[in-house]
Parts: sequence; structure tokens; C-alpha cells
Amino acid sequence: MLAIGLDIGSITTKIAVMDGNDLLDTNVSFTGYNAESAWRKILKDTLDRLQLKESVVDRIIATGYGRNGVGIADKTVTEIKCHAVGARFYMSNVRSVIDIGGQDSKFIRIDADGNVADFVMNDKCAAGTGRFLEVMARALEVELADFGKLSLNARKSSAISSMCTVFAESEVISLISKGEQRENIIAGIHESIVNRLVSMISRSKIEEPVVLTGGVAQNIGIQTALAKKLQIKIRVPDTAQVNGAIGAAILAGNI
Amino acid sequence: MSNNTPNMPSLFSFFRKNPGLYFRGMKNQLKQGLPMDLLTLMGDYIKKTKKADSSPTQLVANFTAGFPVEFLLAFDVWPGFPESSACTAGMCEITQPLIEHAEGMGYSRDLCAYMKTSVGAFDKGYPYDFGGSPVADMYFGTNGVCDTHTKWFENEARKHGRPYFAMDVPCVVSGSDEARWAIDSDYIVAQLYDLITFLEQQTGKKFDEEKFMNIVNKSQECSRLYLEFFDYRKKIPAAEYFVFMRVFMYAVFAMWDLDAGIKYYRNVLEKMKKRYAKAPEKIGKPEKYRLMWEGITLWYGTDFYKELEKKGAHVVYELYTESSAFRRKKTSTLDETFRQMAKEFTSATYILEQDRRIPFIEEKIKDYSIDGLILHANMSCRPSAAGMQDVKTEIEKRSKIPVLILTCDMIDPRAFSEGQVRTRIDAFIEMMEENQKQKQDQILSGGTGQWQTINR
Repeated sequence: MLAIGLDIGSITTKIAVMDGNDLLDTNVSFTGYNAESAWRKILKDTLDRLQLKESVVDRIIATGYGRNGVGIADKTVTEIKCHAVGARFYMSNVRSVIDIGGQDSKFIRIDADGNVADFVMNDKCAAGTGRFLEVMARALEVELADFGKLSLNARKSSAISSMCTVFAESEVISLISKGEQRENIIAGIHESIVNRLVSMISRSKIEEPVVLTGGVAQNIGIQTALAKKLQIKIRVPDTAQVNGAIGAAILAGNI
Repeated sequence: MSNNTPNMPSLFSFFRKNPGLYFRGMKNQLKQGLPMDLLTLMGDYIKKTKKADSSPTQLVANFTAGFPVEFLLAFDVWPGFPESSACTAGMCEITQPLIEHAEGMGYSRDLCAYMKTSVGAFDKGYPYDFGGSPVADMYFGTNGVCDTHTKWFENEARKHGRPYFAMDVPCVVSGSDEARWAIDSDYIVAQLYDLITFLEQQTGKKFDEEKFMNIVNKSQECSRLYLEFFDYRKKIPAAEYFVFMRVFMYAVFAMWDLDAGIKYYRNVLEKMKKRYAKAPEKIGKPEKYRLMWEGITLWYGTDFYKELEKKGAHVVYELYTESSAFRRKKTSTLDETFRQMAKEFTSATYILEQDRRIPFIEEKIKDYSIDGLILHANMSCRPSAAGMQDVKTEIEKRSKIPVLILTCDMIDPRAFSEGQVRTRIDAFIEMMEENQKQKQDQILSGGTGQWQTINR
């Protein structure tokens, strides 16, 4: 059974192709203005890479904010369920998933049977998400990919108290003008994101093992700060960014 | 009106100035799909409020939710209810510019959106049908339901130079004992006697106890009939859902014409009895998931509730609409009536303290065969939104059903993000679906779980 999961996120579109229990390929591209052309292109590019035709695909499940716009999908499933299923593919006994995406962050609690027992998401505000990091990287003139490593060289964390992305950016600019070291500011940004996440997670109940997913999961600074704050081990799959698409593909194979 | 001139603009003049807004409002009102007799009942209140406003002799009072309207009726004072007008504007989906207008006047974004809609609509000269309200001859507020009410109406009375009566209802906190309640009760009863004195001074009339008791008996009957309707919502499928109920409660809440209210509820009940006796399968809609909603409705959310219904999820019970009926017990003497009112003010289901609120919700979940609970964390209503997380944690543990906290606002659409809400609702439905599967599996494997949806 050739199954595909398409995760149409606010910043990136992800795809995962599975044949039975084997993950054949994954891919990531920017969603941009036209979500439909983004998923059509990533689907074509990925199938071309695998030298497969669309006609051989048995099932497609779409997830993410743009899930309802994927006309060829056999079904839509929320990213909450998909991330839970994707995390179980990585670690079968996972009990908690923390997903930090482009404009939302979520905590998913999984019960002993592998079902979603509870979930909490950020509300009304994109602080503590990938978009927040993007804005801060721009203000600090640092490549987003270097953010994590740089923060590990910090001697201390600068205090970032604003809860709003726009005001936090002003705060960062003010710290720069005071001569604060860039590494310290980045560490402070990570800390503020983690504080916000932990406050959200506290509304539910975290249980180990914990898997971190989403594009921001690749940031070593966030991983470190989160593990330190929660005092638990955080597992990050290599496929963290495409975890939701993998979950969708697994569910597509089980329809 | 005491100054002999109506202060609310007519619907016609509003239409001439704002034809686009008028048609949009009417279209959004109609898309709720409410029955004609209910729309007529609601229209009757609007029509009569305007008539009272333009009458040279009729005294008009504006009151807040939770205030005992029977006192106003006993002194022949017209009960104007600005919150209901704000709700109507909400159903018309025209509140955002009104709220922004009020914020431009200096009202904070965090304040009650009912108040801001009303203040904005008044300042912009909107009629009662679109959020406006008359300048009343007197104002009555109480903190029984919400503390904003007392300051809102105090401010309105001051702005218009009119007298104001505020009734203070002590807040019952978890762990309060009966002795505390007896003290609170004495305090409230004393205020009800003060209220009589105040009304005698304002109207120049003497309090007529017999007339008052007659009105209280009617309001009790009106409440009884209204609450009887809830029995039909326990049935599967339920008689009616939230979009209907939030307007259905008008007559028992505003009490402008108790005879008409009694007649209307009696007719609806008669029809419902016959329908369930004859062809219950033709009532309601296929109910895949029966929901309970805690908190105020999303007045602008007709499409949202329709979207839920398309997914087979129907709100069959809300504390909000049930708590609108106050006179629940029959009384025969003035003192007994005042004591009963005091009891009701401090124990309204809408503002129950957590010790009683959680078991109350748990019981309703059983009574109404609820599959999932939505808690509306209402951004501009602190009294109803506080403590939601505790309710969620406890109910999940006790009732074993999914509970979703939805952060929105009752009437400010800026707090409703469609994409975010849709994801939460879809995930919530996935959880209910999984829950049902598990319970069905349990039954099939000879487990002890009991699950009514298996027969739906």
C-alpha cells in the first residue's frame, strides 16, 4: 500500500511517502502564498524523485492548517492526531509530544493505548513559535540555522520579558544597543520560548518518554533549554520537521 | 420616557443611513433558521421597548442580567435590557465596529464586549434592533452575575443624570457553610426592601404586595414551563440545540410580558409532546456526538454551530441558557419570596463556586448523555471563564469524556480565529470518535461500559 501524508503548514509544506511500514521519502518546501501550488509541486517533485506516478498512490491524507484545501486527499486529519501517530512511529511507547511549528506550538498527551488523551495549543499569539524565532533572527542578523549552536556559547541568558513578538523584537533591539552579546540574547530568546511552552504544557500533564517535533525541534538551543526547564530527557527524531506528514501517511495506509 | 421624547433612532432612519449594514444584519439574523413564532416573540420585545421609549407617560428602566425584574413590573416600569440588544447585534454580526468605536472612546480591549457593544451602539445612534438602548428613567444593576454590570450601569446613570440602584450579591466561595449563607441572605433581603423604597420614590406609587406576588407567581410558572422544555433535550435526538435555545430564553430572562411568555412556552411544550408521541424519529438531527457547552454562546457564531452540526456534533445542553430561569420554587408570602430570591441570587448555576459547579456539570453529563464538553474561556467575561482548567481536569477524570477549552469571546469576533478554532474542534471530534470506539469495543467484548450512542 503506497500511502502519502501531506502536511500543509503556515510556513512549510511537508510530504512523507510510505510503502507499508517503510518510510520511502520525505520532503519540505515553503508554503508561500499559494498553498495549492506548494502541495502539488512537492507531491510531483517527490514522486519524480522516487520514479513513481501519481496513479500508483493508494491513499493520501492531508493535515495541517491547509488540509482542507487538498482536493485529492482521501481524508483530512488534524495535525494533533498526525503528530501523535508520527511520534509513535519514532518511539512506540511515547507518552508526550511537544510540537513547535511555524505559528503554533502544541502539547499532545498520549494514553497507554496510543490514543490522543489531551492536547493544548497556543492561543491568539505566535510568540513561542517558529515565526517568533524568524523575527528574532532577522533582528539579530543571524541565520536561523545558526541560532541553536550560537546559544550554546552564551555566558548567561538575557532577560526577554515581552510576551508579544513585536514588543520582544523591540526589546532585543534595545539589548543590542546596550552592547549585550548576541549569544546571550539568543539564549534569552530560547528561554522565553521555553517558559511559554512550559506554562502551556502545565495545563495538561507531561509523561515520559517525550518527543519533540516540528521545524523548531531541530534547534539545539531549544532542545537544551526545554530539557533543562522540564528536567526530563527530550527525544528528537531526525524526521522531526516532517513528523506530522509521517503520521498522516501512516494513517493513510490504515484507512 | 420621562422627557417625552424618544431617544432611540427609528429603524427606518437607521436603514436610510446604513442600508448595507441593515441588510447584512437581517440576513445574519435569518440564517439562524429560527421559527417564526420565536422571531415574533423577540420582535415583540423590541417593538414594545421602542414604544415605551417614545411614550410620554411610560417609565423605562434599564436593568442588568440577574436583576429581579418582577419589582419593575410591579411598579409598571418598562424593563429595558441593553444586554439583549447587544446580543441581537451579535446575532446580526455587526458588533466589531461598535466595539472598536467604544475602544476609541477609551474603553479597554479587556473589558466586557457586551458593555462596549452597547456603549458603541448608543454613541453611534443605533436602534434597539442593532445594539442600541434607550436612555432610561432609572438604572438597576447587580453584581450577582458579573461585577462589570454594577460599574457599567453606574456609569450610564451618571452620564445621563438618572438615578441608579445597585444590588450587591455577596460572592459565595468554595467551602462556605450554611451560617454564612444565612448572613448573606439577610443582607440581600434588606436590599430588596430598599429597592421597594427606591421604586416608590421614583414612581410616586405605593408598593402593591398582591400585585407583586401575582407577578412572581407568573414568573415562577414561566420558569417552570421553560425548564420543562429541557426534559426534551435529554431525549435522543434532542428537541432543540443551542442556536434555538439562546433566543428561546428571551421571554424568561427579560420578562417583559409574562402572560405572553407563559402562553408561548406552553404552546411549544404542547407541540413537542405531540411530536415525540407521534414521530420522535423526525425530531432533531442525527446526533453522532452530543455536546455540553459551558459559558456564554458565540453570538456571532451561527456558522460555527452549523459547522459543528455538519460534523454530527450538537450542543444539547448549556448551563448558560438553563441558568436564565430564576424563579424555580413556588412561594406564597413576601418574606418567603425574598428569601427564595436571595437563595437564587447566590446560587445561580452560571456563577456556582467550584465545589458545586464540578458535580453539577458531572450530573448534567449523565442526564443529557454527553459525549464531549466545550468550555468557552470567554476573553471579556472573567466570571464565566475563571476556573475552566480545574473543571476540565476534574471532568475528564470523573466523566471520562474529552473536554475542550475554547478561547473566544461571546460577542467580539476578533477573538475568534477560524483556522485555530477549526483545528481544535476537529481534534476534539477525533477524540470523541476514538472514545466512542473504545466504549463500543468494551461493550462488544463484554466489558462493563455503558454507552448510549451505540444505538444512535
